[in-house]
Amino acid sequence: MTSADNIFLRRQILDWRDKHTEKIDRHLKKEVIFLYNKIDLIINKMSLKDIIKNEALTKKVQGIFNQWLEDELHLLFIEAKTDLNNIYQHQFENIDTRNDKLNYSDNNEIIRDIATATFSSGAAIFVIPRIATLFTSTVAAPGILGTLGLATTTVINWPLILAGLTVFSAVSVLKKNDSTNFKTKAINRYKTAIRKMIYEKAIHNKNNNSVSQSLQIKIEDTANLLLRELIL
Amino acid sequence: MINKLLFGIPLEFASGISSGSLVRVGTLLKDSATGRIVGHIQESGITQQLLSGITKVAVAPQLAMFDSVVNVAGLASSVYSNVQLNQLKKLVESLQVLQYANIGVAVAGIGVSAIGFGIMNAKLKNIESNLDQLSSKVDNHFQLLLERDLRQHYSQVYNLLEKSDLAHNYSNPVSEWMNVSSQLADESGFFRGELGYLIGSNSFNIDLFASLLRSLTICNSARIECLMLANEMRAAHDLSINIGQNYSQLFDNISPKSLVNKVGVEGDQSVIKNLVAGVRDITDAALTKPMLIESVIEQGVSGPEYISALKSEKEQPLLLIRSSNS
Repeated sequence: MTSADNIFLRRQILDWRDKHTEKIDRHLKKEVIFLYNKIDLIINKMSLKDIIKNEALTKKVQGIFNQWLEDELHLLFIEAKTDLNNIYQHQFENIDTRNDKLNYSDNNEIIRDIATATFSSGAAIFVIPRIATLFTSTVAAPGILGTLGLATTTVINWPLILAGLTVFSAVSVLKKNDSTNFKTKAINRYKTAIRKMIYEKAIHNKNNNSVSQSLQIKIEDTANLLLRELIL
Repeated sequence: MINKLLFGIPLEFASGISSGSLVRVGTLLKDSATGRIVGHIQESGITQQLLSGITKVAVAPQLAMFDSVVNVAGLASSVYSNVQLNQLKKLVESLQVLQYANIGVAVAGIGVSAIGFGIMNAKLKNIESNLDQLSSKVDNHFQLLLERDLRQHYSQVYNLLEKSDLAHNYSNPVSEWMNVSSQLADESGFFRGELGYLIGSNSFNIDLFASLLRSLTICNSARIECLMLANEMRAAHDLSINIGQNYSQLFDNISPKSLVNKVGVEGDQSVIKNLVAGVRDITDAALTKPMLIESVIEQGVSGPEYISALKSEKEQPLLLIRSSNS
C-alpha cells in the first residue's frame, strides 16, 4: 500500500466510525419509542391482578425487550460490518490491479490479518449472540453484553407497581371513579419507571455503559485499532 | 519547466470523479483502477484573495450554501468585481467537482500557500477581531486567553509575517525566511496546544475552534512558504509530513457525535457535521501535501520558482500539478 492508499483508508475508517456511532445512537433512540408503545399496550391489556403479581408482566416485557434489542443490534452490526468489509474489499480490489513494479503483497496480508483479527478476536464485535438472559437479576450475561465486554452481570431492578398500589389500596374504599383514577395513575407511573429503566439500560446512562454507549465504544475501539496499523 | 507542471483542472475530471474512475485523496487525484497518481490539486495566488472578501467563512459553510451566499452577497455589494465574482464561482464549482465537503479546506489552503505574508496578516487580524467578540461565550481558561495571551501571540505572528514580507527586499533573504519559519513553529505550537485543550474540554465553542484552527493553518502555511522561498525543499517536505501527522493526532478523535455532546442539544447538528467534514478535508490535505512537494522536487522545480508561478496565475483559482510519474 502506498502512503496515499493509507491516507484514503484512514479517511474511510474515520467516516465509518463517525457514521456508525451516530447511527447507533440515532437509530436506537428512534426505535425505542416503538418499544415503549408496544410495552404500554401489553400493560394496558393485563389485569390488575397480573400487574400486581408482577411475575407474568416481567416475563412478558422482558421477552419483548430481549427480542427488540437482539433485532436492533443485529441490524446495526450487519450494517457496520458490511460497510467496513466494503472499505477493505475495495482497497484489495484496487491493490490487486496495481502496477506490479511495487510489491504490495506483504501489506495486503497485514491488512487482511488486521481485518480478520478485528472480526474474529476477543473483541469480535460483529458476532451476534443470543441475549436471552439479559434481563435477569441473578444470571451473568454471557450473551451479547459479555461479548461486547459490557458488564458481566446484569442486575436489573425491575420496577414494581407497589408504590402506586400502596396509595391505590389506601383509597380503594373510595368511589369507583376515584379508584379508577388512582389505578390509572399507578399504572402510568409504572410505565414511566419501565421506560426510564429501558432508556438507561439500552440508550444512555451516566456510567456510559448502556448497550448503545458500549456498542459505540466498540466501534471506536475497532476504528482506533485499524487506524493504529496504518502508516501515513 | 514550470509551465509544463501547472495546468487548470480539466473538465473531463468531473465525469471521472463522479463515475469513480478518479478518486480524490486529500489534495491528490488518483486513477482508481491503477492507483496511479494523476496529479496534485494546488490553489493559485488568487484563491485566498478571493476568499478574504467573504466574511463568516470560519464555520465552513456547505458549498451549495456558500454558492448562494456568493451569488447574493457578491452581486449586492462592491466587494467583488465581476471578474473576481466569476473566479469565485469557478472556485466553488471546482471544489464541488472535486467533491470537497465544504469551503473549509479552501479557507485553510489547498497545496502550498502562495498568498504572501501581507494577506496572511490581514486574515489573522480579521480572525483576532472576531475572537474579541467571543470572550463572554467561553469558559474561564479561554476568557483569560482571549484577554491577554492570545493578543500577545497574534502580535508575535504579525511581526514574523511582516519580517517575511520585508525579506523579499533583502539582497540575501534566505536566512531571514529560515529564521521566521523556525520562530513560527513556536506560535504554531501555541495554537495547537490551545486547540488540543479546547477539544479535550467539556465545553466546546465552534467559533473559537474555527478561529484557532484557521490561525494554526495560517502559521503552518507560512512556515512552509518560508522554507520554499528559501529553497529548502527537503525541509519543507519534512515539515509538511510533521504538520500532517500533528493534524491527524489532534483532529482524528473529533467526531460529530462527540461535539454534539459537548455543544449540547442547542448545537446545530448540521453545522457540527459540516465542521467535522471540513476538519477532515483539512487534515487529508495536510497529509497529502508532502507528496505534492515531493513531486515538485522530483521535477526539478525550485521553491521560489514554484511560488512565483502560483502567484502569477491570475485566471484559475485551482490548478493541477502534473505528477512526476505521469
